[in-house]
Amino acid sequence: MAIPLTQDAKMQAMTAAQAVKGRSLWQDARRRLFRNKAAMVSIVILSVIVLLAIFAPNLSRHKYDAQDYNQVSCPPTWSIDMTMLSPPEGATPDSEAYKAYQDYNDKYPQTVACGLGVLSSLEFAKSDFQSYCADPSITPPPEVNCARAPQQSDFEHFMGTDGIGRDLWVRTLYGARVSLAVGVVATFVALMIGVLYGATAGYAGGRVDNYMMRFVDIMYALPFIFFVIILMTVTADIPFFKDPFNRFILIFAAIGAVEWLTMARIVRGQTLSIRRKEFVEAAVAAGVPTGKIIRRHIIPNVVGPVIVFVTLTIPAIILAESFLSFLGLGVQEPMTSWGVLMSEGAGDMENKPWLLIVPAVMMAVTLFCFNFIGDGLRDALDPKDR
Amino acid sequence: MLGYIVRRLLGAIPTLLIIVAATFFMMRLAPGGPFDGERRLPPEIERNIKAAYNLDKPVYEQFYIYVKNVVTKGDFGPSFKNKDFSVSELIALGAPVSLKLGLFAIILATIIGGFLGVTAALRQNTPADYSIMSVAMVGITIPTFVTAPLLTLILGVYLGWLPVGGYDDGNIRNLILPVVVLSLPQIAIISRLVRGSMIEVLRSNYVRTARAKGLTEGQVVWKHVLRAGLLPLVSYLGPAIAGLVTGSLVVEQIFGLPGIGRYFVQGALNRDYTLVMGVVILFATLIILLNLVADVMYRVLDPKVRLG
Repeated sequence: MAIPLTQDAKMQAMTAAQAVKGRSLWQDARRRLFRNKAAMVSIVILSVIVLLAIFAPNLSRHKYDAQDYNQVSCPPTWSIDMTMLSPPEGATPDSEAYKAYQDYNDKYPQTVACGLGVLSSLEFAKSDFQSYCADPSITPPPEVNCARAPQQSDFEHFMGTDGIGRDLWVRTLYGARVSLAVGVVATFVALMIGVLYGATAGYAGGRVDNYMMRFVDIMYALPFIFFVIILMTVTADIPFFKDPFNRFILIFAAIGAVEWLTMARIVRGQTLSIRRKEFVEAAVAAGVPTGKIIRRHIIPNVVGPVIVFVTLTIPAIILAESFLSFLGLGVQEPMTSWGVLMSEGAGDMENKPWLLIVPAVMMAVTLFCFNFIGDGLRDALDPKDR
Repeated sequence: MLGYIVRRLLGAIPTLLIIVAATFFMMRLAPGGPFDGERRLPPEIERNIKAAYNLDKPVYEQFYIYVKNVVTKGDFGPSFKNKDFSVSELIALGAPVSLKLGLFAIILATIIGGFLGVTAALRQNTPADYSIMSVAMVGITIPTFVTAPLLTLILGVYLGWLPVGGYDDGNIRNLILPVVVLSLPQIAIISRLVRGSMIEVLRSNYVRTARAKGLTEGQVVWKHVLRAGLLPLVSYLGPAIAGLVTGSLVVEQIFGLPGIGRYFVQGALNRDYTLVMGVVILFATLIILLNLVADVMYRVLDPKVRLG
């Protein structure tokens, strides 16, 4: 029997209830995530990388597949001392300045050649600009831009160039596009198959569950790289897959088709264990309809681990793609990915370290970010593990 | 226990058969065969060669012959591309190299990874913990094909301590770099795994009880925490082998080691059906067996899990 309350006490109870407004699972998780500095910094850095990957290759002066014959295998421009390219004016051959110039040229002939390459490209562009743009009656050829006088920075390659004179920074960002796209799309494929499969197995239970999971075990017994390598080689001669785009889709599908296994296991295990939890039993006893139980109790508990797994799968797939590219089975030239760039760079890291360092640092930073975000999400969504 | 092992081994047979069938049909149904060279062979010769390798028969019959030969004679057939060798011979040549590499790598990874993980867990949230975990993160994010040339450059070229590549009949100095490179990602994964499980165990009730009854910290750690905390290592054995196999494909390529991984990549690229099949069967068997070993060990070590 309820204890009768005075009007005053009722009011007090109500304001107290309003003061400690309940927080949902998601609000709680968000608060915990926002407090995680490593995860927040990672989100910011990752957003920058994603934005660069989306926009930079189109906005840049250089095209990802354009070759600059004046600058082949050039180190980053900022490392070139432009004052050392020609002998200092008015310096006698035995002055200090002249000796420094000679030393620099003897020590770094390639670097000097690259610096001179920038200058000669600039000279050519300037003379083109003068001859075509001065007279409005002449229609300039497409490579001459009359809107703006050519400048030295137009011909500088901020992070250097590769073995056939393509801008490394633009290629790295273009590779970011490919690698991130592979990571995201393959993860999405894995997510879809894995969640459907796992949820079905976990919900059906019994013999169906047993057979479905036995199949997953069988697939698990093979290292994923086997399947992918066989698939990539088997399809190499099919005309449909010679088209770079279709091949690209195949990489997504191949990697995603293997990664769903773990996802299926996670979802199935989670579904099984939550169905037996007391709070589900309580909901059933209280007469909550099945649909609502699934919405309110099962899904929120399954989504947490799934999100965490997704953020940790993307970097794993980016890494897997780079392995495939290293073995020569990934995307084909002139398209590129971090894996392709890194395996090119790893070939001659003694003489051209920038070719390895630039893509490797980009990829490492990206993978770091994903891992930190994944760890942060796990801590936020599953506080008992902290 | 014996019944469990027998049941698992029997269960492995259909598993292997499915894997063999999947690989077999995938390779056969694809266009392009092992004898499509630059120069087209005269039709009679091509027919003879195909007959010699049973390629003129229907695919399901080829499959039947293949499985029969493997099961009854242990014969994986001749290699299509390495003319003078049978697949069994090639595997016999490559297997010792790959197994040695993998074995050393897994031992190194377990010892160092386990040690780092335990250290980080016991000093949780101290600079030692943070630095170990950052290094582990680097180990996970940097692929083998970058660490390999990097370490070669430093230790092999600049310092000149170790040979740059080659096998040299299994000289231990030639194996150091490949083993280290191969184990680095595993060290990273294992140390993270061990740290996580150790932290969980350190907070459990029975550890609190052990402390409450007055055991020294050393006794608590050695007798109570480590035994439970290192258990996930055992069940990680299976995935670790798969990871090592993947890594060894690259490492054997980079260091020029004559292991199975190189045969596999070459075989897949040349469409050397029998060689690829042989390697797949070998690795699948190995992985299934090691998973069984891991499960048995887990059940022996963990009193909570009794064999059903």
